[in-house]
Amino acid sequence: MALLGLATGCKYNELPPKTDDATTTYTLPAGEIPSAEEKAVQTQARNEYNQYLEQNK
Amino acid sequence: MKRLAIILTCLAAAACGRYLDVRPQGYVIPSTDAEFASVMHKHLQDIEGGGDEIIIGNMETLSKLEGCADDLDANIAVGNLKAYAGDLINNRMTEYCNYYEIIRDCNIVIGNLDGRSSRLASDVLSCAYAIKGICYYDLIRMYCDAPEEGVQQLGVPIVDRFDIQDRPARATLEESIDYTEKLLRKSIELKMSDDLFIFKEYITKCWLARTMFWAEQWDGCAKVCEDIIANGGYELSSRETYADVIQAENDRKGEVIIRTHINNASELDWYFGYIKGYINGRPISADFVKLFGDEPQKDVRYGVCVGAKRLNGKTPEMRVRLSEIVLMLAECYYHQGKADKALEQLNKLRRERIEGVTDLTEATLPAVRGGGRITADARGNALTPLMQAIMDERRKELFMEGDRWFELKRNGSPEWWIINNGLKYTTRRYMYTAPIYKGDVDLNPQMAQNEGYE
Repeated sequence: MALLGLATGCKYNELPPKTDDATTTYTLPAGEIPSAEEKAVQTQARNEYNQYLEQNK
Repeated sequence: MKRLAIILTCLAAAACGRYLDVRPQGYVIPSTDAEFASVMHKHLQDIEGGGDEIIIGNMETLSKLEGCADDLDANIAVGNLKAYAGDLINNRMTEYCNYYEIIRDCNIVIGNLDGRSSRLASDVLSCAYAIKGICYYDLIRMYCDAPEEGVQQLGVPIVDRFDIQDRPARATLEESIDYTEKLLRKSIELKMSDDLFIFKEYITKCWLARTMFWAEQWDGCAKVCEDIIANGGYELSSRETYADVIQAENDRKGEVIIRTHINNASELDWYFGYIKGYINGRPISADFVKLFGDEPQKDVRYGVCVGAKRLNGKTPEMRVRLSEIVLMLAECYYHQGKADKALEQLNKLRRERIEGVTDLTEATLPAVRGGGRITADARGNALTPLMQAIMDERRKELFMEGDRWFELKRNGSPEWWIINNGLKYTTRRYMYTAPIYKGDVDLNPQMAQNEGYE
């Protein structure tokens, strides 16, 4: 028994008892499918930028 | 045999000696003024080294704020920045905890040094009050709705002293703002003048002005701004020196009142190189460029801000500059009905930025443009030509300094969307107010979460 005691090294559990299991993050909002008008706005922004690059080479 | 068993049992018991040793190993519990000073020095070193993401912020902080805002156009390219504010919901909760860890450190210092008479104790106390006040200012801007007159709004939990068992619920917004001002005034009253502790009198006054500005206390804010401009010892940088001041990698120059990253104590320069690359993965919006008018090259800010391929050219660092104080004062005068004084401040700034500029008058102010993202001012009133002019100058001046997101929030919190990888993501009104740490809300029934987060 004494040898067993020596072998275990007499460690103690440092962790406190678990009190809850709640998640700590929120689900991020999902994206939506854009309408044709909205995609056109993005296309316009990209075209304007590409035109800027052409003019400022 | 029995004796051997007893000896072996005693040896086993001796091996268990550590179980009674409950002190954290390798730490000193502060007791002297110098030991408490070291608690603050840890945070000051982070600020100077550029590693602080919380108190003043650093390039990482800035990249998150600019990623959420619209000075860079995510519809052209999202790049490696967060696409929009919704992507940062959970990060903001981690930052909320970080703020309160710093407040804890300040409370430990304040709780022990208050009443001590040495110069060192007074300086450390002043620093602790300043940092705590700045943390509360940041918490209010990030985790509370923009102030609305006549409405009782939720603030943040006020933790006045270090108490490991205390679980305060949220104060009101008004109480939180009052508490923040009280902390900053306590710091200012101690008239700390040691550069080692950074937050000297006029630097802390900048945050007092910012707090009152956010709280729409126009009269009080105007007085503090006037004091800083008249007595702070700073002058607006001229057109000739502007680029040198703004583009300084590690030096505080000219009108910069305080900045982070004045040395490389954090050894994060390699990481900041990546951040600059991330920022330059998203082009500047056309709306921003149009603010400079038909002859943009005459405005020194255009040359600094707009780099090749319409990517950011400005050194992205968190700073407080005299220009911001002048712009706050202009807006305060506007809301006080003093249009002539507002124009005086605006023109003072424009003369130092635009070559051959003609001063603006009420008659020559450009008409309000249609189609802008911001359509109302901080008080909910429709934009006027003068208010638009103040906002435009602020947007040009404080580009890439983490200001635009809070300007959008303060002036109506408009909803807008971007398309990323074929899907539309909308910055909803509720996203301008980040969630309180969910663990606190779940454990404390008295803690109310901000609207929109489930």
